[in-house]
Amino acid sequence: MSVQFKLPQGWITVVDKVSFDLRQGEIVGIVGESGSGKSQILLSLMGLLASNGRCAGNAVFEGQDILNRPPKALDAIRGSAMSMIFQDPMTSLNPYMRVSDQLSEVLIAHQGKSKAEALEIAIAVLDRVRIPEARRRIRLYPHEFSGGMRQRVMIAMALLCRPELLLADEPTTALDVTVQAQILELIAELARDLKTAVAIVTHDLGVIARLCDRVIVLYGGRIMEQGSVDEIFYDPKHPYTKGLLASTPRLDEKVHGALKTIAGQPRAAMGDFPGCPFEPRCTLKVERCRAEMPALIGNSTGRAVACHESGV
Amino acid sequence: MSDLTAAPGSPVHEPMPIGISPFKASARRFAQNHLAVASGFVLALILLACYLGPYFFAFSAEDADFENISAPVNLFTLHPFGTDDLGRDLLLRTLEGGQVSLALGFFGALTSVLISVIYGAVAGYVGGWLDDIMMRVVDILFSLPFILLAILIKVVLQDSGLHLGPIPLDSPNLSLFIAVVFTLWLTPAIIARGQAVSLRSREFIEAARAQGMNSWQIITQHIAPNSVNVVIVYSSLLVFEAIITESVLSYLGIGVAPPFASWGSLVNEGAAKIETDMRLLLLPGGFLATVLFCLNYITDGLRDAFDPNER
Amino acid sequence: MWTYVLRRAIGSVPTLFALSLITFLMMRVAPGGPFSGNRRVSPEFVKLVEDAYHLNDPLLLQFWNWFVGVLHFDLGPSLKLRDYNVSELIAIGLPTSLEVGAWAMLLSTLVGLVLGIAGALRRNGPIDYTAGALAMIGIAVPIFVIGPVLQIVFGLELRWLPIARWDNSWQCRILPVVTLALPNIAYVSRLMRSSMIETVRTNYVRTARAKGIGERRTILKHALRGAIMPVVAYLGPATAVTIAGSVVVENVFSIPGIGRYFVQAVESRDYPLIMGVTLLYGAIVIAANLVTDVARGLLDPKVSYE
Repeated sequence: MSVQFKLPQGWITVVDKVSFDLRQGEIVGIVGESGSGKSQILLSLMGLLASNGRCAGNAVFEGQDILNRPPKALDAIRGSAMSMIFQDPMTSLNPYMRVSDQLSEVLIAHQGKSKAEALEIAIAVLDRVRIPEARRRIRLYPHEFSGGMRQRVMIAMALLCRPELLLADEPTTALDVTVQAQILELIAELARDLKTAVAIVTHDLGVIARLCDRVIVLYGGRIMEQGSVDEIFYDPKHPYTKGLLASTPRLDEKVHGALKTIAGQPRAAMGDFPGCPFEPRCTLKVERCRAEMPALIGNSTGRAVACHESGV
Repeated sequence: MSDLTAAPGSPVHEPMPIGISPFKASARRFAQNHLAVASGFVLALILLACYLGPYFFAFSAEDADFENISAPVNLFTLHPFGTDDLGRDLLLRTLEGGQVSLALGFFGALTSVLISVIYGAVAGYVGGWLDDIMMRVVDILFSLPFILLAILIKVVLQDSGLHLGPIPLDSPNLSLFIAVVFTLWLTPAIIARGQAVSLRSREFIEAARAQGMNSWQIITQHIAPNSVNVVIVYSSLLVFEAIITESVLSYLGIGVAPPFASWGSLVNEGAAKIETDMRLLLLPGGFLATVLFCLNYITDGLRDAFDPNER
Repeated sequence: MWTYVLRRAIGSVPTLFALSLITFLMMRVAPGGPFSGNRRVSPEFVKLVEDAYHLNDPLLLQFWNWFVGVLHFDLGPSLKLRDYNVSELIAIGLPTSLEVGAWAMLLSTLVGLVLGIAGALRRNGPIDYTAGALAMIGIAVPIFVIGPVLQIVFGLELRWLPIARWDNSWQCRILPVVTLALPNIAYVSRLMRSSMIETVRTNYVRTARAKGIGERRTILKHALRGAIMPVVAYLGPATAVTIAGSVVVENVFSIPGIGRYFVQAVESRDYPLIMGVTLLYGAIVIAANLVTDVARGLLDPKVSYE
């Protein structure tokens, strides 16, 4: 699919012909820098793209194309078969409604449960995400929870109907480091138990390493490389992937001199160039890189790289 | 792994921003708002008409033209918009009434701005108990709808026979002016105080203090000028409110006194006669509404252009 | 929570007190008393009347007497309408003013909300434009122009409604109430519209949509709750606007309410009546602000009463 936004200066492309598939129970991580368009992929799948955006392509979920469907059509799937958790749980939960109401309404809307039934199920799920004293706490308002617990509430809310697919947009970015690990544990555990496929978007390689089976590396709205988590971390092929891994300080290495970085700035306006988006910052570049976008060439195991100078 | 970490400084070209003062940038934004600019033109036109127009009439507003009583609208005659039941030319009366309304509006707003900025700047900067008292006073005055406050002040002043030296505070027009100003300064004072409070902890104020400036100098040279942005937005709103307050008072008969007329008092006269001649109401009423519309669009335009919170 | 209400109520007493003090002083500063502008009367007669009304006592004593009376709801005798007490006059006129005012507040809140929400949901559509135009008129055109224009259109030209009459029929109430409501319709609709637009863009509304509960439920249950807060906060000031407007409207439509009494009292320098009405208005505004505050606290779970 591709996603574009209309700005005063015209249409810019933030996601450029990104294509991937997700198998049941698989956890896929989409990694890239801020502004690389990764969140927009998830939002487009959920039909939550902003009004000045448009997406093209198709996304097949359980046999149906869900891209660009009218909201009414998507409502049947959203929240039940496919759900999403967002980055900032404080602003993503309704501050004026009790948590019990926010959870129950999902069950009432999708499974026709009564208020009482829905409440019991919700309490059980809150228990499952390890919120202590769930029965008492469920009557509280979001601002009465701590940051980590709010994210647990969001996760609970997303998993109430046992979805086939969970989309997670930077779920740990707004949390303390210690809490991050717990939340990731929780997501991994629940995904395995419910056999839910997860697509998680993040800029944090640590999250990817902890959680994912497969990784997709995005830059400038295009897939640069993809593969299993081991392949990406231990045998990166694309210059950008290599740079990303190199610039992550490791606890077991001594740092000599300055921290390693990737030179240059992330590009401001994406797409609409014929060449490779990483070309300005790439050290392997040749003449061809500026003129021609390298194709994503892969092998049968799903490993792929988009680079003129490197290959699988 | 190290082949990627090239030396920093790969050329990324960005244009150097030219120095435009924030004021100029805001002014430019305002100029792009066609509705606001058009309103400004219309307002200027009306201003000109009211102050220069009467010179084009061969007679005065009080002259009763007995041959043409209650003449209808006929643009090509001596009385383009007709006359009232005393033979006075309607357009001329309206234009002259406009002089009063507009003058009271603009000068009233200007005076309010000055008073409120000083009041607010002092309260906000000095803080402490002075701030408390000053804001309490504002609070108390706020509990009355403005019109009532203006009515009370005007009536009291008018009857008091007070004189400030040679200045007769009890003249109907001056007391009206004071009444209008007194109700208007409340809201901008609160805004100005808020600005002062947020400004006083900024570094350049500390620097000024370190240079040995005393409080009064700081207030007048730093705090007050830096509140200008916020005040500009409110100034046109104040003109709007001043004109409305004055016209309501005049409509109720508690405003300007004869021989002066303002749009409010003209509407009052006209309202009494709508069954016989509705032009008497509609002409001054139309002028009034037009001016207020224009001021409203200008205020919106100024707010969009100058208020940082809105952006 | 009731302690909060009580505390706030008690806190408004000094304000009321200060208000009455200021009003009283202002009235006494103006030497033009009940006899200014009348036929000339003999000085002895003047002194007689003034003594009867305690007008020559020291200022503080006059104020004290008056204030004590206020606490007993006795606002003293009217100076001009000599057969009546101020309290009686207020009692006569208050129901009328309250009726018009209450209807106007109700109308303006409901219509304003509906127009604001409709305008926000279908931006730049026909409803939005009409609502915007109506708001423009309500804000920019003064009430004393709108009133007569409506009188002309509906009273003179179409002859559907009476121009300036007050009896038990419902027809004579329509124009005054609509005229009085118009400014607040303008403010409320604009406020609600911008608040709604902002709320619909929040993250939590996005989450509500992501839960697939349907657009209608998302708007009604989630967006509305947050969007309505500024409007609730505005209800206090709205009362002040309505009171100010009622003074004009009662004049335009010849309605025998307190507003009209007030204007007449001002013209005839009837101090007790002026002060009584002023105090009444002040009390209403303060009470309205208190109610608004409490309502806001009830609706917003983040506000606690410590």
